[in-house]
Amino acid sequence: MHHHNVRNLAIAVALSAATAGAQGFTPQNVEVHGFGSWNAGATNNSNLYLGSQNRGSSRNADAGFTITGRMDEKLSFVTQVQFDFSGQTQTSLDYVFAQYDFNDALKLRAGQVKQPFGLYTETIDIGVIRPFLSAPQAVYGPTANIAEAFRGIGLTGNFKLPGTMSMDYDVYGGGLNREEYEPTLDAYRVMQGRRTFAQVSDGFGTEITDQVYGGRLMMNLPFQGMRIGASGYHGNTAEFPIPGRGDVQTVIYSFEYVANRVGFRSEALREWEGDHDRQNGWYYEGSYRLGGGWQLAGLFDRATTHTKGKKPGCAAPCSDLPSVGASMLYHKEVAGGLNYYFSPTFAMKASYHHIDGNRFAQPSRDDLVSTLQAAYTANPTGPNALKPTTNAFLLGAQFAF
Amino acid sequence: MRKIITFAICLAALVGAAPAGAQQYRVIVNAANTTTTLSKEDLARVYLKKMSTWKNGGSVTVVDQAPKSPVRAAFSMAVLGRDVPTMKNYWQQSLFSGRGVPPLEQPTEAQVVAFVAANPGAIGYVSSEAQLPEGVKTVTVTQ
Repeated sequence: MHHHNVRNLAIAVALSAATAGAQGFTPQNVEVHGFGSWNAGATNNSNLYLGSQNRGSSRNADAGFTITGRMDEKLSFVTQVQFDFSGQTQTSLDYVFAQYDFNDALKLRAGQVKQPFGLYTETIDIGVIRPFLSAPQAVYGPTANIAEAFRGIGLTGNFKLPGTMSMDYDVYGGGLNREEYEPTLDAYRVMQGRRTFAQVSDGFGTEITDQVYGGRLMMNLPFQGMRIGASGYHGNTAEFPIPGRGDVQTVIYSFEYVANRVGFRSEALREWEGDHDRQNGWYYEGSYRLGGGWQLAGLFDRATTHTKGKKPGCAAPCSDLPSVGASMLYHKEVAGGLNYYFSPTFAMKASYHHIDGNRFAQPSRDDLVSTLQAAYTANPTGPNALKPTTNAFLLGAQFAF
Repeated sequence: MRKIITFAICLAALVGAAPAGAQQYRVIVNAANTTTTLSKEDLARVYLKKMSTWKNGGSVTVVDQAPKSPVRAAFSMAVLGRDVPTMKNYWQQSLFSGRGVPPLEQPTEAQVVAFVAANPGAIGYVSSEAQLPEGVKTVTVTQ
């Protein structure tokens, strides 16, 4: 997602929709929907996790709106604008695309289209429809596994299978902007001799990935609310322009069961970047509606990163990893949550997270660098200088209408 | 992947299929519609907006009852296998992923009937004791 200021564009889109409405749409043809999320949190140490920090934080807040319109029976458009209130307000145009329906089994989409990848990518901003404030980090964390949208063209549709089953499919091609926040991986590469501390990133970055082709198949099983499927894409990232080193491939297997009281999702992801990085992630996420608006939620979340490289002075192949920051390459999380739904569209959520590893629970960039710099300079094979275990408590509210 | 499939089967076995429920609703279409029967499966596909054209080629316009309507609760459980709040969640997912907006809601049963009578491709449902005017007809739902 770009955080360029595109407010004028958003206003233009909204005005064009409104103008179109004035020129002949009935009220059913244009719909405006909104969503928002706010959360505060605290951790038991200097690590940050999902916006929480040692003394607590209330900096995670965003909201947005979606406009859907139907020009006629075949042609429709969707656009989504988001406002991020964390710090200085930023506006981003998440999606704007047109869809032409040939029939239920064949629909053409073009523009900046929601990336059909896994269960949550298309609705990553809509917190109220999932049990936790954030989607599981092992798959949906800021490690450039997903992009919110692809720029290009795609086909989608649904068709019946024998019995009561059906299949949803997507195929697409174009480009992706894959967002990442990777100070820990950068710092780890410092210890491999592939970066300097000055090159450790500060803030979110974007891996622009082109020549992308991908798809998703989701099979709706005979049990209502149960589906299983796989998604994946292949592309070439500009981060590594050396031929053969910029290939990116990501695949994810998904399972979902959402019934009246019970919700369960599980996904397993693997990503390859050239011959140097590999990421694995998987999670189990469950929820149970107690009645009266209350809901319990639980999460097991695991991620590991494998990165090739060697420590300075180590003869290749060098497999002994720097121990001083080894926890930067994995994430193990157990979380429990209690939610209260005032309605299906508005919820308060509280959750406790126990995290082992610094892949996603990490000090601020400057603290990370100074801690590692001091420890690694003093003793490159010394004990882990970071605090690998973090306990976080989050409280928040989310809505969508 | 094998673990996920095994878990899915076990979970389904534990939870079981959706209860059938007594027939507390009647499905109605415009009187000009040539459709006389719909399978429950196709009815579900219509109400999930995965089947958007009638077999005669016209577009389907789906209309729902108000969220707190008892007949909607019965219909949702019997046809879609999920209660109204769960279906709200389903439609939010669909809406915000750009895959479809939820069916139009009408606040009263009389307005559902009036809407179906006024729109040739419309489909709705009413309570089993509802009085139906000439502009609409009942469709038989088969298992």
